Amino acid sequence: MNKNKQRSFIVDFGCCLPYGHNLQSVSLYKRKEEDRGRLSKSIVCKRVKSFDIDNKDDFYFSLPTLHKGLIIEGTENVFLRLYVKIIRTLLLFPFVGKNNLLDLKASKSIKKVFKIHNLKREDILIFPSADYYGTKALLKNLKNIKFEDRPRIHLRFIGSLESPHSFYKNNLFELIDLINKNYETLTVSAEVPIYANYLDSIIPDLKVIAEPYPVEVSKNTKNNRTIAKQESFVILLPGSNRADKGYFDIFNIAKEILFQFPSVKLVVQDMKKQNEFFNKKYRKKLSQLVNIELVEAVLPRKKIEELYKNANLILLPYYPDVYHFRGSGIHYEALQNGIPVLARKGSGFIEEINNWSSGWTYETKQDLLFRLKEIMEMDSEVIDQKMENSFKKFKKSSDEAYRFNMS
Amino acid sequence: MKHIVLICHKDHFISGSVNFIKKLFEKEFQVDVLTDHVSVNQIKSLVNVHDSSVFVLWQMEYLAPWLVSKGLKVVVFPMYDGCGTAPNSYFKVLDRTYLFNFSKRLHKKCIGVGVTSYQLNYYPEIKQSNKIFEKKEKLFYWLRRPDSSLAEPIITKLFAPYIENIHIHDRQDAYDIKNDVFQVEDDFISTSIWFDEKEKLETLIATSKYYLAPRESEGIGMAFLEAMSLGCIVFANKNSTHDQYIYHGYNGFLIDFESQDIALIKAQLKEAFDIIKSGKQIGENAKNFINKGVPIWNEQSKRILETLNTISDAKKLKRLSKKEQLAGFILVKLYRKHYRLYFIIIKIFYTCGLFSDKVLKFKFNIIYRIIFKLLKTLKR
Repeated sequence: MNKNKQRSFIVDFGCCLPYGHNLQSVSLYKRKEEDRGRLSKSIVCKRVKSFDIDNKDDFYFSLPTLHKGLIIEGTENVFLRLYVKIIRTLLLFPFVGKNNLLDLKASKSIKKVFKIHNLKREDILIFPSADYYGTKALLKNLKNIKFEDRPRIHLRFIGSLESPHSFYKNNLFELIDLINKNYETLTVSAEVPIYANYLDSIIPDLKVIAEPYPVEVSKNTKNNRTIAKQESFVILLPGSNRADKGYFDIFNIAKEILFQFPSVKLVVQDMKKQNEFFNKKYRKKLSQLVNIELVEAVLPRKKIEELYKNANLILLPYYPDVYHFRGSGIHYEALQNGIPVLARKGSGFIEEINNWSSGWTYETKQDLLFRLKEIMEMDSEVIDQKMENSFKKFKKSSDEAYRFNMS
Repeated sequence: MKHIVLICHKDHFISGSVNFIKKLFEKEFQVDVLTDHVSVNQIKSLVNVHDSSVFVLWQMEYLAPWLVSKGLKVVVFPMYDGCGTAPNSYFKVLDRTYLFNFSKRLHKKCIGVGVTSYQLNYYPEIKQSNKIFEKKEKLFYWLRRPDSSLAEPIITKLFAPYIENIHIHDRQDAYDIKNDVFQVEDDFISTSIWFDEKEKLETLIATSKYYLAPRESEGIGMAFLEAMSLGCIVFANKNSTHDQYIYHGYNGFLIDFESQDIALIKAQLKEAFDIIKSGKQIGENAKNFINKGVPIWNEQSKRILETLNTISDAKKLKRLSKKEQLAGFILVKLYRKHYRLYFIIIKIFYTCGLFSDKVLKFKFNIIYRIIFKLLKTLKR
């Protein structure tokens, strides 16, 4: 790295898969920092090195994979999954004082990052998807560094990796406690407004604001959207599906849509086979429904772009209880591709949809059908205009949040 | 041309009650009608020949699990009077079919068990409904089920104080006239058995001021809906589908005939005739109600066709497991022998994960739960 330039390090312990929003957000933050004239480097899990990803040279692959769920989701190898389950459970036992071995691993790798890159006060450490192990290890490690040598740290909470395991509860408070003790060099943000408000209320010394994804300037709403002029109306349900994303509701939703709007087609991205809720029978039932096109759970970026091009609407039937504090990467992608969304009320990103007018919300199935009718009756030019304005609002909001947190 | 195999009861075919839907399908499909009197083997051979056709089961939903297991596209029209009291598992196995319900109650039942259905409302378009007929103080009574609460002697007795004449159209369900109740005509009672021209029957109904819905419950209720469209004041048992169209005291009357509580029925009838005497235009309201509903049915029938087109255009489906194919076949055989046994077996099959998404997993806590329940029972 050029010694005269200020440096930014984008660190993500949750980035252990060659796809998904963790990897994407790391890339986006890296680009955004470079646009600010800083030298930036992304530090992700070692595991990603073995996969074929774009701009591989931009990454440091040095972090261990600590989140069990992500490894299990990412591999079809049954033995590896079983191994991970057993080893992970064993490592969780508190052998050493208050820490378990996974905490020690995280701590070790954070120390390594500090040592190898010789982090100084002028540097910034960004956690675009702050996770439990990484954040905890980082904040604990700060104690060992002189105040004047501490780099600036920016933590962006996304509402999904703050707990190490489903049976641990209230881990967020452990992190908040550490944040409150080390707030001087910290900035904290959350992906969605409702979560930001909550964090703001429990971190009295910092102003926590909502920080959406950094916007990719290369993309804009028009170039993608107006190409698609197909005969039938296409509803897309992108992103590797999960139970909390409403996967098991899709069959009934699709049937209702078939009865009301027989010509409407739904393109559904499948659930990964290794997902603990994967149900072969349900999958077969879904694939046999006449208005559903089921596509692979993991798709290359090109194919995803193609799906976006052909879609008229993106449906997000996410469960509000799980997504209460969570955002949706798909929503940001929809905005960048100029496609409106129709999302279930109660999720964390609903406020964003309302603020940016990037789509509509629904509560019940009847409500969904009613909204769908309205959307289908709308002129495509009106929707294009609406999405163009939404994109502008999204960009403005994203830039403002970025400026606030990084200035 | 796209092809539909319509399977219905023989009675539907003879009475012509299936004709309206057949005619609708014929607008865009080639339709072959098959009645339940054909053997399972015949259906089997038909399945092999028309494996890419759409199979429409008109009150023949017991065939659905088997046909679905064979990888066919199955559309089902269950009827309330046929399966209104069937257990939940009966509907749960219809999940992979495309379900249309004429009965709101049945629709709700299906939704309740997690099966998506499309509710239809049928409003007949009668040519004669625009003509003005002189209404006589006559009750038109279509005797369909002499063994039900709507038996002829009870009805005659109940309505006698309020009407001048009663016309009994003695055409019973299934045309199995075991109970011959044929009345000798007199000044009060007139009778008929069959009209070669439907118009004559319609004229007879149109000239009657009152009409009694002939069954305790209906699948669609075409007869009483036609009577409503002809401006008759309809008296019907408080059950499906009567309660779907009749708003008591506005466009007809819902009476608790099924309760067989004569005092209650008498009181309800008295109240009804008091309303009629007060000058309320019940018949006119009924006629307007049906006429206003005709566009709704036209819209829905369009949607049925569109849906069937989408179903027909879809790629061929894969067969279910051999286990499910065999189970489906057993169910068909069972239903033809004893339908109650069918209900029991279907529940067992469903619990075992056949025709459902359930994945059976053995869990140790099941044993714990069984022991716990056993101890609880013993304690009691």
